[in-house]
Amino acid sequence: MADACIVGIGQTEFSKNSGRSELTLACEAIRFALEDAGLAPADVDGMTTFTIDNNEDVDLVRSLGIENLRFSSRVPHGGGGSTGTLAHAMAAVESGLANVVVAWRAMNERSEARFGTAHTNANSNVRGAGTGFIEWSVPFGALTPAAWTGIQAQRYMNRYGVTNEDLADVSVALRASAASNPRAWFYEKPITKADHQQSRWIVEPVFRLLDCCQESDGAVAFVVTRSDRARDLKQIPARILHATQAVPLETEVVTNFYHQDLTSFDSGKKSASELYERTGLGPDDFQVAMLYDHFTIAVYWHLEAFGFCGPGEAADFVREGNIGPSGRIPLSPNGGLIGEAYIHGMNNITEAVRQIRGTAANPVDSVQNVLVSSGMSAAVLSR
Amino acid sequence: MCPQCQSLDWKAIELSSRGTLHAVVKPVHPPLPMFDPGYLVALIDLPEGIRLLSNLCDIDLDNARVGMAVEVFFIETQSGEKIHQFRPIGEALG
Repeated sequence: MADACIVGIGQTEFSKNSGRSELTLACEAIRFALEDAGLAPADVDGMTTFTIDNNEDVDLVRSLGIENLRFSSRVPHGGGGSTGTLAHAMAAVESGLANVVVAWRAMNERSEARFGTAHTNANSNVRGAGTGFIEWSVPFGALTPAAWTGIQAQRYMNRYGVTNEDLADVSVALRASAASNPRAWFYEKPITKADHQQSRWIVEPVFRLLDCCQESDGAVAFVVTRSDRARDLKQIPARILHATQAVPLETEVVTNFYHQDLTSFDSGKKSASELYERTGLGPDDFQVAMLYDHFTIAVYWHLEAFGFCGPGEAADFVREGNIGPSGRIPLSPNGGLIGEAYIHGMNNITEAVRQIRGTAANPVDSVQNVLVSSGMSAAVLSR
Repeated sequence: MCPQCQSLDWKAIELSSRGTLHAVVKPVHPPLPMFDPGYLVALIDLPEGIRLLSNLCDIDLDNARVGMAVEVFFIETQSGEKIHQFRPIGEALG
């Protein structure tokens, strides 16, 4: 069985204007993660991040005082690949390519280059970035993540009779969790269903403003090593039972319009079957699920792909309270990317670790296994 | 490369010009100066097995129905190139 563990987590504050460079943010988060673990920069010999993170590993090695990296990798697919950093880190420490791997994501995604804005340059997503190729969308005025995800959402909502009012339940639940999480941008700012329904349309008839995740500044980092090493460190280790990436046939990142049935979340299903087969666990074995919520509807797609409910049943499943703190599968008790911050999925991984340690702002009782999924990658973390 | 047979033998064929509406949305925010408010973004299934992102024209969102029959027409862009657009045909117009 798998042997890799997350032994340290770190982050900056989550804001709309950090006032410092993405390099500084990355250094701060990594330093906090190493301190949390009881390790020093000299212990680090591996690193991984997103292909689209603006920091270079060489700059971090120099700035942090790392002696030598034996392993360095980058994961494609934008936020969808965020949990893939766990797969890379796990592979590195279990194979012996590295002993201590740091994963990071640092972004001034509100104060510098906004993700949510209209992307008018058809070639702005260059080849090799590991994200979408938007040349086929730009001439038709589909220029934002909300428009790209929205068109897929419309097909799902039309098929299953789901309305935008249904989606409010996801947003209200996540904002309720964020309201009691001091790290969350929306701390002490819960919303009602009426607030959701009064927020302005972003993409009709699918997404209002309160269906969209935040745009955030901040950084998150975590440290992975093997369990024999983890025993001597400061924290309760969060074991990575398994982690996987998923790129099924016909997949595109965000502009994911081309596989046969757009109401079926193919990459999530591939991740689910891989994780369930490798760990022997199933949907009833998780006490918390951290499901990528760049838009409310993504929670529905995850719930169905991972078998928490059947196809087309997610709206009812959510309405019946199953994702609440005492529901069948408590969802993102940090408030997720909608309520806490959008550090591109990485803050959902650190929350999973806090739930396993029992140190979360909104702790779920007796957590043994946490599912983390970001769409094109997923993992099981265990106590 | 063809994902079914791995052939690199390509040729151009003429399509039927018809299709069906697979999905449709109305982007509202942010407003874009180069598009008229109310424009619709649509996925169109062509009978030849191709799915295209395009615009659905001559109809508003409330009357657009997934599965409705559409036909292609072309407009010129500011830079002088031509792009495809679709509009309802037949009974769907009513």
